[in-house]
Amino acid sequence: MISQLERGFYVLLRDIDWFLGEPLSVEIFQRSLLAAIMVGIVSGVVGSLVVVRSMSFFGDALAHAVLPGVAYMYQRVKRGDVPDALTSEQDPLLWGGLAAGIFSAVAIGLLTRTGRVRSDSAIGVVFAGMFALGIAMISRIEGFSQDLTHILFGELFGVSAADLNLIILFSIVILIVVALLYKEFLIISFDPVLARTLNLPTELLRYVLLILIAVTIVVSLQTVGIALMIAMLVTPAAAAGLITHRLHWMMLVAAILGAISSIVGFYASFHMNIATGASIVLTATAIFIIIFIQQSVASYLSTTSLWWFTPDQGN
Amino acid sequence: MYMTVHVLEKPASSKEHIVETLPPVLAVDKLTVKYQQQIGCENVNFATYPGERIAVIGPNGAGKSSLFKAIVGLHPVFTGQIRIAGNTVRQASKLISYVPQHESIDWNFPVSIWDTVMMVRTRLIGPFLLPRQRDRQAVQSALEQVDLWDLRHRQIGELSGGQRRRIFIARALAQEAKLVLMDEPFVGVDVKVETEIFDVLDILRREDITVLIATHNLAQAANHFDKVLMLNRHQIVFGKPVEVFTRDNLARTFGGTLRMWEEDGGLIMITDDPCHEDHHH
Repeated sequence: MISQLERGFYVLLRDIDWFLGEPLSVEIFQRSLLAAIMVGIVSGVVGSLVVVRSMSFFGDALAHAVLPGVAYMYQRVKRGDVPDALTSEQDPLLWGGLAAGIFSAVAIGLLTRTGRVRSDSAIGVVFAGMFALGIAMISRIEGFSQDLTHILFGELFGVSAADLNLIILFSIVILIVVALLYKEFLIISFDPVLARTLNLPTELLRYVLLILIAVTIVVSLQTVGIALMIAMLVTPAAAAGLITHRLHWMMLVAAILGAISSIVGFYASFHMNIATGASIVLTATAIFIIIFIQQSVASYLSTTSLWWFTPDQGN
Repeated sequence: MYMTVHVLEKPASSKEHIVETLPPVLAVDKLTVKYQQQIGCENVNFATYPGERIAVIGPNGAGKSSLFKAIVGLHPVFTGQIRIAGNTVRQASKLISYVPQHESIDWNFPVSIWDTVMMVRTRLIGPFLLPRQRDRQAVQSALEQVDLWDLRHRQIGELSGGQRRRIFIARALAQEAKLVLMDEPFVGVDVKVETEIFDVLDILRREDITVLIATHNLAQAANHFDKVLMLNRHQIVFGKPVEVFTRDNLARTFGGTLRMWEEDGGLIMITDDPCHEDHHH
């Protein structure tokens, strides 16, 4: 009897070991998981700023606007002009995306500066134009649908050593910049009038933030792809916003939720054969829904007396 | 709207000794402010001294907000000049605390009361650095003075109307400001909150901080302020309430929107102006 229980226990342990360990037996999968975790953390932190500043549309637009940069480098890799990330220390796609992302962020910033174009219109114009340019470039490549799918929806199980190095490097730089400029970002987000009366360089700070968002998007490109990028920025941060009421706690919780989404999504993707980006985003969405329902129920209970439950009326 | 204004010889609360030989905290000289091709206010001249409390009154669109925004440096000066303790607006920015209209604040933003007050010390803390002991003490002392210390961890939206407005008084104290400008702080508050606000304004007076308040409430302007600036695009008059609250000045400030008659030593007036609404959006 005992030996049977014991054997069952070992089988279970072995299964868990297999479930968690199997995907990590291949080096490329280890890299993918690490990349996904980094992306979860960074998107949570930067996404908190996107959420409190109501910049979701900007984030989504910027994710699409990196396409021509990626497409251009993709063409050159295909033609053999530049080495592929998998065979070299370089990652041309990432640099291409970065250039296009920063260009678009600055273009949107400059268009809205004059006040003659409304900011959502400026975002719409730049985003649609850049995305169309990217599609046009990719459509000229033979067999483009496969390539387009990878770029749009992410190709997590193709993270090269060069990719991973860049993802980690950029992530660390982003986190350091946010930490150093935290109180300035808080002011320009919560109280832009105070920022101006205190003579803070508000324009410069705004551009730094736009560029940070662009870099975050490019770093996350491979994990979730262009189409679902906005979910990584918004969903964990919005969930964190429901349960915290100070910005730095929101960032911390969003980073943790982002990382959890990445880990759970990674395993679901591997074992259930789901596209990685979708699997990570669905996990994040599920977390958001759970927190939302829990908070709604809690606030309902705290304001409603039931026959078996009287809310605490303290302070 | 109906109100009775009894102009008291001596305001309900006033600064005992205003020393006008000191250099003025704020000197506005032949000021005209234009914003987006429109004149905000024209030919404004006045000076205020440490600890004074000034009411700026006038109908909607009279240029009260424009004047305030020019003083804090949000609107450019078209002609004339503004001097704050002898300096330009830009040089004196750390001495000025501006309290925008209540509705322009995002009360759901994830910040605590402590964070909101600490923000004003950003320039003093300096870039890339964390608040030091000195900054934490300044914020603590400011919060204790306005009686918000126990609530410091609360998110700002969890506060009552009076408490929300006290945050901004704490901000002025923590910033060590010499001049505070409040744009319509009494819009949408009841009498209890109004009294609460005047109580904390007395703290600023004790610290010799000059306060300019834009308000619609004439009865209040007549009795709770040291001086009154009447504005209707251009300056009508500036002086002590007993001197400036005359039928003529009020008629010129509010024009056809005001009818009034004298009774029992006070002025009774009716304005068409739906004062307690905000038309700025």
